[in-house]
Amino acid sequence: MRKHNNIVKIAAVLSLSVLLPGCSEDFINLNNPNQQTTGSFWKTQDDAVQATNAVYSAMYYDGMYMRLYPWIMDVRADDCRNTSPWWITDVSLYNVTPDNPCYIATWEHAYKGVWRANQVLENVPNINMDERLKKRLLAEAKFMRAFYYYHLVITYRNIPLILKPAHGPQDFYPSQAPEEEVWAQIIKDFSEAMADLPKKEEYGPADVGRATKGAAAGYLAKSYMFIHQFDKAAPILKDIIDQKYGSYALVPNYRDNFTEDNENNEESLFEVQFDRNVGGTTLGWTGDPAPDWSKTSGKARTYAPLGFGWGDITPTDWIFNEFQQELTVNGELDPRMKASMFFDYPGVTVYGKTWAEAKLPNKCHIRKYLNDDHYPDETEWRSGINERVLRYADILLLYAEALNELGRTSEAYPYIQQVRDRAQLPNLQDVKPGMTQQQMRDQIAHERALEFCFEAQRYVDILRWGWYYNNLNTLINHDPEFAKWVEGREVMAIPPTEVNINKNLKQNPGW
Amino acid sequence: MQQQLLLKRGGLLIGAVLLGFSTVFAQKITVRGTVRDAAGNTEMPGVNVVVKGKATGVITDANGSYSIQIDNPADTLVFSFVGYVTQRIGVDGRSTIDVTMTEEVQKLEEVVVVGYGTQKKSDLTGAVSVVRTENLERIKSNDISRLLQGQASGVMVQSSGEPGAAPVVRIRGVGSFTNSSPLYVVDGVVIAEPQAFGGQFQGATPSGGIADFNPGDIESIQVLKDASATAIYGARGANGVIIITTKRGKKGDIQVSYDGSYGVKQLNKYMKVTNRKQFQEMNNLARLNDDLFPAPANDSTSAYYIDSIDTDWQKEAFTRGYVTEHSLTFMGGKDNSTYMLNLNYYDEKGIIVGPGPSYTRYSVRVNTDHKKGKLKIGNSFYYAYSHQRKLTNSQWENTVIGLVISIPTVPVYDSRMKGGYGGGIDTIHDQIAGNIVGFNNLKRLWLNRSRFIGSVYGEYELLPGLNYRLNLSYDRSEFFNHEFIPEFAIGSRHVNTIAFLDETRGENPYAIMEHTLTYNKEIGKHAFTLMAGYTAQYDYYRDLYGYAQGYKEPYQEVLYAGSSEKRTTDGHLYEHTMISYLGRLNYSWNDMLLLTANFRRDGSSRFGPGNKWGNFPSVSAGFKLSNLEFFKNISYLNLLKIRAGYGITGNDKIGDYLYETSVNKNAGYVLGGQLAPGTIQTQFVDQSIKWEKRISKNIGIDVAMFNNRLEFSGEYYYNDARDLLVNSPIPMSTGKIADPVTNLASMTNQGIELSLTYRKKEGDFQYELTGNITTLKNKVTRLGQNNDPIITSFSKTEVGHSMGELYGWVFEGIFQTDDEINKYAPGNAKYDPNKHAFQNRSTKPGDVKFKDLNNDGIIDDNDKTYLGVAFPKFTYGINTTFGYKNVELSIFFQGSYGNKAFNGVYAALNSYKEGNYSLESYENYWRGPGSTNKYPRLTKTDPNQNNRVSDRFIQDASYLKVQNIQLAYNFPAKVTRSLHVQALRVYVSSQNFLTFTKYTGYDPDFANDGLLYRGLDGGSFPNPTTYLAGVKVTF
Repeated sequence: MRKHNNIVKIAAVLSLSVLLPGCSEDFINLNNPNQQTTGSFWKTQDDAVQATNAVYSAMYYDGMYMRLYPWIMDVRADDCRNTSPWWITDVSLYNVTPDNPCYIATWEHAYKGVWRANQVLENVPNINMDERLKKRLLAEAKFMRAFYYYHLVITYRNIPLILKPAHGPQDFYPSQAPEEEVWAQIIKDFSEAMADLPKKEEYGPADVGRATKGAAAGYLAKSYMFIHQFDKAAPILKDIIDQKYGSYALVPNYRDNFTEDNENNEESLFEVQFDRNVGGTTLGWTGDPAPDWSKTSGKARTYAPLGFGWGDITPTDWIFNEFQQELTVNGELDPRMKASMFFDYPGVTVYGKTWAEAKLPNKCHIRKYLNDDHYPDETEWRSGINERVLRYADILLLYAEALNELGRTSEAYPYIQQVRDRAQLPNLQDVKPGMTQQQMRDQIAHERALEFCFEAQRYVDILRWGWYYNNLNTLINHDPEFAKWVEGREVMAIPPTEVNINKNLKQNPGW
Repeated sequence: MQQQLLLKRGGLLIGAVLLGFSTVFAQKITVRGTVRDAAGNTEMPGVNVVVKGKATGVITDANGSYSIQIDNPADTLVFSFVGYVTQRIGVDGRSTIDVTMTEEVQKLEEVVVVGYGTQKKSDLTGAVSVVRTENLERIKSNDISRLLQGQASGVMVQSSGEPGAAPVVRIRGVGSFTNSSPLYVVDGVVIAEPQAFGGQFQGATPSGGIADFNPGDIESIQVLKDASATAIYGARGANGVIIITTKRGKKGDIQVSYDGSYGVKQLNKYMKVTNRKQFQEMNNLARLNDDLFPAPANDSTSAYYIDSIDTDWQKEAFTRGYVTEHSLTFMGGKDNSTYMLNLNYYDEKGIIVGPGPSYTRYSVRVNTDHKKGKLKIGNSFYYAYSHQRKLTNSQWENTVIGLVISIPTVPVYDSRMKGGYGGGIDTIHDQIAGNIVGFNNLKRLWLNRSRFIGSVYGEYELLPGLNYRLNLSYDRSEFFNHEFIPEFAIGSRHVNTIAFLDETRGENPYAIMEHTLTYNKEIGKHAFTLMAGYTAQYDYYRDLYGYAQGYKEPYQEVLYAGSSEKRTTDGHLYEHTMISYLGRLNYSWNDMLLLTANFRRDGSSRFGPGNKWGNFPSVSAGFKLSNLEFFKNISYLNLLKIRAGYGITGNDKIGDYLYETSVNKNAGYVLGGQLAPGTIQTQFVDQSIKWEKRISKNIGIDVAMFNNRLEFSGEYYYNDARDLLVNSPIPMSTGKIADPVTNLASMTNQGIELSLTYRKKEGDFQYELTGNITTLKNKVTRLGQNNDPIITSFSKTEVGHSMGELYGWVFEGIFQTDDEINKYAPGNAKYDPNKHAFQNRSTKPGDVKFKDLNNDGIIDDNDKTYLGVAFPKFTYGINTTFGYKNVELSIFFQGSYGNKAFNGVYAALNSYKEGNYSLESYENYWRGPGSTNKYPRLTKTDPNQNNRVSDRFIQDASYLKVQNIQLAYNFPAKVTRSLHVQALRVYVSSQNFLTFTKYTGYDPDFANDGLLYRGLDGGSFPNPTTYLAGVKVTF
């Protein structure tokens, strides 16, 4: 009896453990409650829309438009000099500094955008959804892929061309594609996007900010201009001017292009949408997006003069003087100068303060894209001003340039004049009639410098005009930082970490 | 000699017989004799001699002689002396009784706790270090793991001096890239390692979850080091297991004891930096050399020139800290029930001005055990509440580095600035670094943690020898962390105009159920212990985050008081489950041949289908040579055992859900002025990840001699860690956020561990010496898909080398002339003096000449090389204790040898790039050809990158520390009796008393990540020196 009792007890204990939850395999099957898995995604129309939205949002990373891309472009151009103690100094001086985040960020972040676009292009075709919407989303993804590649190829020149999302180690280590091949793909994507995207008027108000037919046409033309295919660029630019891809015009007030007040206006072909009132307050420099990330730019704080922001970048004396080459028809300073810069002129206010009160360290400071009309300073990182990356003024001046390059120099005058008119500058036909092709080139360079100063355009112009090789002394005169240039370093170093990891990559010559 | 002795003994015998005979009829009988020590054959004074059952008692005199009167020739005399075997000797009518006392046979039969059971120490076949807890008790720290530094072979501990900081503990090297912290088992229960508490508190992660425990509760600590010992913990045993047993009640009347101490802490080493004048001179020259105008604050012609401020930042910032502890223990019990109750208060304040860093803990422990027939039940309940204030950092740099490079022309306090602290303006002072004192006072960062650990056990003897045990444990951590950043303006670069608060609270419960059956059986010379068990575990981490901003003075630091706009919340949940089956066989034959076999099968939720289960077997054997007839004749040999073991353990401390690819739904974009939700895959994942494995081999020898006064253990181990999860680097062109985690790394760790104890008593004098030494050689054998090295800014981890080896350029001297720069291109065709000078176009005389290792005329990444191993060649600890009568002196030495470190503080002070300079560089900087071949010229922009990572900043971080020195006095019984206490002990001590090192940073014992940056002293908060006094009284 006693023995029997014990056996019952042992059995009870053993059965207890058998009955406990552990024995079922289910106990150790857990799914992530925080995030949806990819297996359940890419199913619905909403998934397709959300994935496409995510392609745009890679522009919020530091290496794109949050801060660094415009900054590394401007700091290397002749209209700006570096006044930052940070890593960017090495960029402005063409120094080799392997850990430098400035060499890495654009590569890292533009490729995030490329991956996202590739995911949409691979998965959305398989989703059962409204076909018109599907076509538009795929066109948006193509536009954005080309947009990211446009930035990559300009910044780094020799880059891998990745058109499908990586599925495993076999896809992780691409080689660099020849530059022409990258441009060909950019042109293909922009062309296809141009064909399928709606005009800006065809979008509803909730979709303002998406890629449009006009944006694709503009970037397509810009791409042709970069690779000197002026004959291909010219007709597209003409079509935009003829309003074939939507209605575009110059805004009367030049400064409306650089404040929060008049965003997505008639001059804008494409702009990066920033907003202080949407999203959280944490700055999403890099990494995995979090719900509290703000959708803002750090440009204002970076560019604002010391005392009001970091003062990390300052106009060169050359651009300060260049603005004063010509007065308006009323004998005044070019209004774009005051819209773009703080300097000591009667009635100037710097964040509401007089010039004397502001105690700025230099004779002029960048004002473009700053919040001085609304805030007392830029001590907050988050600026909500949309970055107008493609303006109608650019289309006009590019068209003038294309005409000039195609030998139709005299036809260029009226398009330049449209831009000059807004600045109330005298008629170029009267001031400088009958320019030669080279004189017109110089004139366009001058016009573009004034119109697009501190907009990350000037450097791209210098690069596509080949000035590092054919006009270096001019650049050095404009900005002594160019004296530090080493052959090949007009484009950035491929991030050294990337070259280390991907043995198929070659560092750019000169680095 | 022999004869003389015989004669002497014979004479005594005759005398005793005669004396005995003559006194047999007396009423009182006097018994005399001499007490000797068996080992030394020396007379023993102070031995208690009492008549059994009577109040009569005497003590032996200085010659070891005694004389006692007894009533009855049949009485029994009891001879006793602390540390010796008590002897009971019947008088049997004798009048002379000489006694030889033998020392108590200590430790040999000590029972040690191994996983899911106990074993006699002499029967151990695996590598187990038994820590001598009496050595730990002399050191004050909130963290048990900190106390282990130098106390056991094979255990390496590194820590900063910040109160509450989590030391890095590694057992037998680094066995994983993800988490190499050992597993802690307290009172038989695996305790949680609470998740990292995000943001500013990342560093506050308790090491292995043991930080919350009161070290005073420890009864014993065992460190299981090899797989044959740890395999019973299977998937969690790979990094070693630290088994802690807490004090439990003892039968008897209630015993109350109080333990209290107070100590002050201070920094005894300061960096020598330039004063105002020297700084200005250097800064001006550096700027001048770069064609920059002098900074106005340093320009005597400027209106901004500063000549009235000369701040010594280290003097201003470092202050005296303190540490105090009070502990009250009650214990007692009856035959079938015992209890222990402890109340503890620990408070420590760091050595820097401001409210933090500090660590305060209140804890209470209750342990009870009950017995009824075949049933035993018991419990351990522990609750601790801790409040930790973090050292606050600046926005830019490490606190310590920020402090030493702060410039003398900026005041610490400045009432004109928002917040009241001074700060440099970069265009005026040429300073970016913030005001560390200001930050530490202004920013409010604290963490409250509650830890409750309750475990109950029940044990029942089902059949003779067969025991069933159930353990249930619940370990719950709750944390609340608080970060409040007020408005402030500290110079031009550190301005905050929006005061904000973020708070996170979270919970991390950890529940385990364990069933084990143990069967003991002896059949003749065969003895078996069989154990089988089943365990299930569930734990989760859940947090809740809130943010609000727009606070105005007077600040009310709660979310409610913030502005209603811009509030954000967040939260996460991570769950983890595990099921395990385990078994063990212990077999011994004739107390000579020992065999242990373990097996554990673990299933974990952290792996994908098909990879959830892992099997972890181990086997070990030992042979007690000392029990062979041959050795039995060697009388001084108590134990001679050889042993060997082999086993496989695992590591699943890798984070949850790593095998799942997911989409991120936070990738929204602004469209039409509204947030348009965006969702996309942002991370690459290797879905086939599986268990990390460690295959370990161990051979060892244990020796005990001279009545166990000498104990020696030696081991050789070889651990092969395979399938290690590593972030296998993939190019950024994939679009990755982080590198996917894959089982693609392996490494080996091998070394020798020796430990030795010798103890001896000679009369009033006694001493004990224990020492241990550990060598470690770490080698990476596989690394990712393509064996790509992992290169950080300071280190390179590559197959064939050790983890985190320091890596950089080789300093070859200073260029003295332009000619030298131009000529310096040894036979290289690529070299073109007009275009690319040797290193850089801007290289000038006075710049550093780096070695062109590949001889291509260009200094670039290809000229980097290994600059030193960050692992010590060996680490060691020596405890010495001397006692004379009631006085006890103990000194604990601890050290590390042969490890190299990048001295971040030295680099910051000698690179001239930013902030203040070292006095050394002021006195030695290059002043023209021939002036120095060691210190470069002054330059602000440093075009040649003189301050890149090179062996200029790498130093030997070997050290020997007098970690602890303590002088204690135990009051004699006479005094204690008059005070009506049982025992009274007072002591004074000093911790981190002295450091011998060539390292020029604050402290060669610095905190690091224990992984790829292991050799980087990036400004670890220095360990202060503590002077402490304390008292322990038992009522």
